[in-house]
Amino acid sequence: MKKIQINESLSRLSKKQFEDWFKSRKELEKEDMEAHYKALHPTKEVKK
Amino acid sequence: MGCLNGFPAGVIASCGANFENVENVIILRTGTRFNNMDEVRSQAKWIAAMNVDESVWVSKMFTSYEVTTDDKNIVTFASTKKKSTTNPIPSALFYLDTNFCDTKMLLNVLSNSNNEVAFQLKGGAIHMAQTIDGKLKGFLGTLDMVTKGLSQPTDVGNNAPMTFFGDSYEEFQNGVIVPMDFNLTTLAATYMPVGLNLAPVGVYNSTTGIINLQLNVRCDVTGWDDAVVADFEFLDSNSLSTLAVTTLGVPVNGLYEVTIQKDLVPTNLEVGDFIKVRIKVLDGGVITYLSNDLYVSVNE
Repeated sequence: MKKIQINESLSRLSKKQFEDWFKSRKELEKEDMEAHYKALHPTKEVKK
Repeated sequence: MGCLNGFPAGVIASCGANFENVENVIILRTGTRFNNMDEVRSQAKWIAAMNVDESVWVSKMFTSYEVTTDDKNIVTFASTKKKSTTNPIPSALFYLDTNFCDTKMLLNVLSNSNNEVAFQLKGGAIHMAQTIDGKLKGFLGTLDMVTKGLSQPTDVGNNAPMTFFGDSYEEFQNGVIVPMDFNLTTLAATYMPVGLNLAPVGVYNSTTGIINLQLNVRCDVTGWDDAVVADFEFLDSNSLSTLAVTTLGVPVNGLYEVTIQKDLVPTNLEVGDFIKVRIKVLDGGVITYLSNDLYVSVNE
């Protein structure tokens, strides 16, 4: 199922700023905030 | 040196670029220049002008056209000798062979606008102006379109009249014809971005930060569901900073719930703010889809 798109440029926000912004958005009520935050900040794979 | 008239320099009897009928009009963004004829004859240059630089728009074709240039003004002296006193500046009326949606787009864009226009002749050659330093350009003039309202019963090919009023007789006097080995109109059909229609459904709500927008391929009833946040381009505003579509709802038949916010820590637009936005889809630096500009003013 398609998720609501969040602008990648919001990766500039700190975790706290992003959480505050996310909570202010009614259209994101059913969205998974952590999943969206992780998508904005993909972790780099550690070289073994 | 006295007032000697010039004398024709030689003649090309064996071949030459014929002054054929005009088949199409090419609108060039004012200031667009080709450094030399080789650039005019370059497919790559025109393709980039159409879908990267946005400096060229090519009409589909004409159904017919009329040259409306005035005749020279002829004055008769008391001696009964005649002399022409003016060089009427060329003008023309083109009947575009185009669909209703593109005509509507042109009506909104071309109202007495300054443009530079080149003409594709039968056989594909391009009739254009040349600057004193040898660069090639469109003829400077005013393009205008006015709708006659209703479709004409017998002259259905005359429903999209576009007038061109040249600005300078000298540009035409010094015009050039560039023979081409490809058809620019056919090239445009492949490489011009697909036109999108972006329209508001309701107003921007400064409490929610949301405006509903309908997106269709122009003239298509089916909505276009492929827009992403990065496709929204902000062109103007009342000096707002960091404008962005921060969330984009899942579209339903081209209807999107669009959150537009400003500032580094995103906040809703306020009453009194205005923005101009459009959809521009880029694929590897090439514009594949392009919408009209949409002006949104926040009043509530």
